[in-house]
Amino acid sequence: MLNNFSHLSLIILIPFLGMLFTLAAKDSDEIKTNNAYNVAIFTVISNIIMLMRMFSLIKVDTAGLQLTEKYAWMKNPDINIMLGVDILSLMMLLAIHIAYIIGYVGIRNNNKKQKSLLVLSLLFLSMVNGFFISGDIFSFYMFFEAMLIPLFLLLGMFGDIKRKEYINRFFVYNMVGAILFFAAVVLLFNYQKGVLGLQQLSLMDLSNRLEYFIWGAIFLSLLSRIPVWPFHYWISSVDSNLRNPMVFIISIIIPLTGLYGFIRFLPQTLPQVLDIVILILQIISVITMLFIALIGFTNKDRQYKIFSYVTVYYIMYLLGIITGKEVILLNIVYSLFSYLLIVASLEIFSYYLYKEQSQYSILDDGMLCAYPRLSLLYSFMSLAAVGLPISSLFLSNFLILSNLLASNIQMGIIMLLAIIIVSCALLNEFFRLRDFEKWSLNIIEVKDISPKFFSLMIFVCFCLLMSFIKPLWFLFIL
Amino acid sequence: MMINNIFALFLVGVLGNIFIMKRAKTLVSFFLCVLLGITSYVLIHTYLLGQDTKFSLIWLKYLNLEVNIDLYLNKTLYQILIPIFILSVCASFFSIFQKDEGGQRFVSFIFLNLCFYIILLSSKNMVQLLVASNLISVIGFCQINDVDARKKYAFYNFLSDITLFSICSLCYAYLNTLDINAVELYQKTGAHKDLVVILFIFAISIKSGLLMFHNQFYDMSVLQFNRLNYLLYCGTPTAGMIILYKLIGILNLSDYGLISIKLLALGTFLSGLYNAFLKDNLKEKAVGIAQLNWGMSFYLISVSPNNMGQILGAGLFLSYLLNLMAYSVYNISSYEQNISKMGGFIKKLKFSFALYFISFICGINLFWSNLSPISSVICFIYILVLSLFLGYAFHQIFLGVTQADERVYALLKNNNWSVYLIMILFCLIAFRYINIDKEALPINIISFLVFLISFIFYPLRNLAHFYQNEQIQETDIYADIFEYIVLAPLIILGRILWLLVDFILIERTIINTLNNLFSKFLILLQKANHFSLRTSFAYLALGFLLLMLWQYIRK
Amino acid sequence: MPNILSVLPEILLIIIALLFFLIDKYRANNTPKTFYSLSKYGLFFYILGEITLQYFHINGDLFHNTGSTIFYKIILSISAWIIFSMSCKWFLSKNLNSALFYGLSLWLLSALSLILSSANLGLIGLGIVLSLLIEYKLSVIFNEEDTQSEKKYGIFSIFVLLMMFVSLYYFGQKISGLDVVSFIKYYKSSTTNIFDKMAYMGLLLSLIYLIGIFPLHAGKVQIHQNSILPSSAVIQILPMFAGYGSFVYLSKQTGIMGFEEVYYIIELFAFLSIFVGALSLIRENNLKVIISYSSLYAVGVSILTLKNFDKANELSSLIYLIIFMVSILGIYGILFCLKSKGEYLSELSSVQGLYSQKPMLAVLLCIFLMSIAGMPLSLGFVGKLQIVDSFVLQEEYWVMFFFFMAFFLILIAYLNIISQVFFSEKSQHLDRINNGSVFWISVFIVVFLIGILNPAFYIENLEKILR
Repeated sequence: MLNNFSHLSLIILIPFLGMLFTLAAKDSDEIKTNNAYNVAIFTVISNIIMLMRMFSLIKVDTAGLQLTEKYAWMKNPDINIMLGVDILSLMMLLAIHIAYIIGYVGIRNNNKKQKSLLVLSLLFLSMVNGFFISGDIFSFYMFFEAMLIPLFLLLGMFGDIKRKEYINRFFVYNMVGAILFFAAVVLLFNYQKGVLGLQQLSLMDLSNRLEYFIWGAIFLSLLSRIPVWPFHYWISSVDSNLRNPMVFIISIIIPLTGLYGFIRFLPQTLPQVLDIVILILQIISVITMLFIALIGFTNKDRQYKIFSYVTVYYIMYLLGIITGKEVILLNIVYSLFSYLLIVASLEIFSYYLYKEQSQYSILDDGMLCAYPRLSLLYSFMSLAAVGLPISSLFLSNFLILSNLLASNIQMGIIMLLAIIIVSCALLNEFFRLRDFEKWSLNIIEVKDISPKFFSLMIFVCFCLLMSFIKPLWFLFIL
Repeated sequence: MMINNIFALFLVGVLGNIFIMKRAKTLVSFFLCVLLGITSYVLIHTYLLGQDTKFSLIWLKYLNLEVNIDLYLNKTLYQILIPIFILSVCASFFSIFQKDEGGQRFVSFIFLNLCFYIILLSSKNMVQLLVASNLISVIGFCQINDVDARKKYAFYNFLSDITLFSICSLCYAYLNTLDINAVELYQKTGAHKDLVVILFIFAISIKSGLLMFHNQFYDMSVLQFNRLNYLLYCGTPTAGMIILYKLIGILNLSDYGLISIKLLALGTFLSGLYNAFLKDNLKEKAVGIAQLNWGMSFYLISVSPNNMGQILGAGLFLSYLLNLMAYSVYNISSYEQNISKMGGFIKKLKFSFALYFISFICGINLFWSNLSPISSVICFIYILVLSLFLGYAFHQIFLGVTQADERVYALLKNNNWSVYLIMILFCLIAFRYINIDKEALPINIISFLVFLISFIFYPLRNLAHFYQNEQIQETDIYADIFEYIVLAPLIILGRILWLLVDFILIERTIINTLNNLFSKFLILLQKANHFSLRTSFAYLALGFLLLMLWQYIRK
Repeated sequence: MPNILSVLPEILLIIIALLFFLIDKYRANNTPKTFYSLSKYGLFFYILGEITLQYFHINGDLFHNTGSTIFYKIILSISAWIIFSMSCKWFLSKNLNSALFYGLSLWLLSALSLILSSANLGLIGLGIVLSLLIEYKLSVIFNEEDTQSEKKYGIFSIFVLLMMFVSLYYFGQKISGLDVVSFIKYYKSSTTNIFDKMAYMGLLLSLIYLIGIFPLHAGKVQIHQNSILPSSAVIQILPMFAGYGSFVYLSKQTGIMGFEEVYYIIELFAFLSIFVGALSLIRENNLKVIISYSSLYAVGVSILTLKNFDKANELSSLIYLIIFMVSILGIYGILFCLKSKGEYLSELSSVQGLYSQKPMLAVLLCIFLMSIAGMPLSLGFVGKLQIVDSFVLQEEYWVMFFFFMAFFLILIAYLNIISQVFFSEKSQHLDRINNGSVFWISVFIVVFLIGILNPAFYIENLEKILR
């Protein structure tokens, strides 16, 4: 029986080993097997089981990191790697893994360099797992930066982005953030001398110039991952042009890392002099939200609509995190769980439609009319996305919004407007896909999604519904 | 007991949607109708016994937030619920006789709708209220089986729900409680009160289809009559009334709250008048009749919210009755929708005419006896208007030279027994609950006279000319207003922002400039790095220069 | 006797090299493997000799064998061995005579040993002369293409050497003996005139020329481009490391870095090397030149870190440089595998779409490049961490800032390479991979893995050796 010691390391190791096995897997055209794909799916499912085990071991009500593991990494300088989890990190990991399953199932028939895609995605998953279970600032930084390489390769090889300089820019801007973070980490390490647990960092008081620089660098680096103006530009250039759904799902995990960093690093007490900085950030954030929402509303590309939805909500969560209230933070995490599943599902559905459209050379107006199962799922996800009480998004957004409206009503209203516009964009797209009058002009027979895929998505819908009823409903099963 | 009922409603609703019977549809519809009838009976029985229902369950509890599920029904709330149940039974009863694709689904959704109505009515906290409101909107969405109608409905209800959502979240932020009754304390502790009131009125208007937002229901005129009637009376408009009733305290936050609602109600009433009199389509007329009811109801609720039960019950009853008449005429005339293509039906439909008239009399008496104590003037005006309208409409249907198709006229018969049965039952119920007093008699006489004048002398004949006016019949002015004043600016703004800020400012100006500068510098450097003796000596000279410079600085 | 024994390993190398020429002339049926095997044994005995004779030295400051010089020599030998092993297949595939290459390389190694162990300006000068001549010769062997640039390099090298000789002669007249300690005493005590300063600059620039940092980097970069792959590897790696080692040894033995005249200017040159190296990489298309500029960058970083020459700084700098060398050897290993229709590829455009043909090679190239850049979870990150930590400890925040700027630039350059390797369509069909190189690349990967998982293992052992 495994003891606590090795559990967390396994969460990083399993996808990495899975990646190696996937690499080694041989596919045979004669038997028409897809060994690499099967190995990848098995890897992710195994990790989900591990995560469930983690859930059963931790105490939900206890604050701080649990199941900690410590490794001596270097003596000179004296750096110890610490791993630990709490409910926040576990929820994020679970959401990412389920999103991965959705993504994998969605691309199962996509045979173009599938093995490479699976290998790189598993490598990315390994890095992201390491990021979310980091307990000290060094490991946090290492995984923060390390995940960029597989992401870069994925974007370049599978993104189908016509202008390659967008990918370079995307990577470069993320690297600038990573460099700033590294500088801050090393300064902090020498400044604090050994006290580098994530939990201790938020207790630091900002009192001198060096500390201001350190925190400024960390915030800037985390902010560079979130599509707030002006960082939104290259993120939108890349994300809105991605055609591979798995790569899109992976790319939207990047802003999540920024948000997670904010949750961990935001000091409990901020000096008054920073109030103006926070205010400026809030103003820029809401304007970006409105701006992106408007563009998403007018843009006819479905991918951009999904991207604008992603952006608006991420910024809303960022604003919620800045308030610093514990109940809001917890709800943001619950909301993010549903949010990731919804976005992953919508992306996969969108990809399926896009594929069918290419195959039959038709317009996608009213396409959903021919795919009843897909239509049902699409409508569920669209309604969940706009915040109906069928996922944990509903209550969590209620609490986040209440706080934001009370703190600054003008900003709250602009934010609300942005959410309304982006939701209308999604709904409009849904209705366009359900326009029967336009579809009836096509006289073709199409095939709906497979029963297996349908069953999986029904299960995902079930998870969303249950998350509305009780965010940690699965704990009762464990 | 009620808890079991609610659970049963939910279960039947869900199962009815999952297991769709392809055979024996009529039997299944009948079975569902019977089930609903039994549930309604239990409800009425519980009400009559005077039993209150109390149930509370802690749903979510973390940190300092506690959200409960409350099921609390008292006499007033039962009074609100019963008419909705009765109308639901009627709708499910009619679905037995209709060849409606998706009929079973429709009835299953009725079960779910009722379940959510109970949750809405019995809510004590904002979250429960919001959840129920959202779910009722979703059910309505599912019951609309036309894409265009769904679209407007979905957008409007989404706007309404999110506005309500924002109001509740703002109230929670200042009150620090989710309790609905604490809304009155917002006056002391809250901020932006006028904004809250405006948003609340906005939300209710959209949800209930008040002035400017009623066009979502006109789009539904493509639906089957039974569905349309159900959605008009047991859908979001009624939910809106209930939400207003629950959160009436919000209107008191501003001096203009109640006045605004009254003005809106008046506007809705006038709009209903316009549509009821000028629209050719029977279904659109039915929507107009519903608007008249909403206008009247909202006005009365704003005057006396404590009489919500009577207002809702009596108003729904009368209004639904009129719609039933329209439904009946529609069925009898082989689904002829345009009233201008009717006329002279009295020769063949004497029984129907008589029944309609008697039901109307019963209806106005029930209405008067329940609502006149609240505002006799309003009730009187309402009855007068309805009498005028009924006479006007009946003249066009029953009198004059028939404009109907030969086939339609030939098939005219008094054979709509499902509607007749319901009407007769309504009359019986009305008789049971009418308080016949001295005041009622003049009302009856006046309304009869008005009806007669309108029916026989047809003073409003000129209005019928508008049936041929395409602009009045087809144009949706409010949709155009939204299109040009709200949507178009958003689209233009979005395009400008994308082009100007993203593309021109960032891409073309900032990034391209930096890129070009950097590239030029790199090309220069690359040329310089290409080895030649010249370059090497140049670098060497540079090295010497730096060394000498260092020496100079050091001095 | 003991004194002469201290140079025995170097003499051995020279003799073996001479032997190559004799074997080549008088023995038939020689293959490249013959000379490789002989070199291998030669290196083995050289290392054995160095370890055994580590405390032997010639009197005065002529020739010392200390722990750190032995360490540098062993690293040089192992690097040479790896290059020789990979080069053997190169010569076999080309069916060329490797005697000259291996012979010259061994001589180069002995000349570099001389530079490493000497604290006498004259002997250092001799070592520099010999190494530059050998490098020139190595750059022209089997080079059938344009040798104009090599000739120009030769001319320029002669100029630099002349400059050095003149300086040495000048100081030789002023100081009795040419040891560095006397030189510093003279420079500090007496009033220096313009001729003293010019002579000092001449000496300094010669040493810089050997290491290959700014402002004397251009020639070396160019000859790498045109020389054959094995020569390029030898010229690139060995002199750089030896020059660095000599620089460190001199500084520790003589305190020359405490000498302001030298210290600040070296720092400035190192600083400029970093930027020139990083910027020049961005538009470069030749893989060998890319490696050269990467070396320029890396050496600049290493030297910049050596501020006060305390143990921590020295360790950080050395770790960084060794990790860099391993990465560069790895890249050379990949270059030795890139062959199309018998021709070895060196242009970046010819390896476009490498991933679609040889995915493992592409991935390994990516790993090695990221290691040089210092991306986390690569061995290079350990080196980068050491460097940045030492900057912070020294409170050199501005230096750290500029280091990060250069790191950013180098990353852009490597991104471009990775883009071409992974994202482009394949440009030409590649031949089968050389097994010898695969073996070494695998060794490097194992080294990397151990370094990432347990860097303390390397750092602690290195610390012990340097102590």
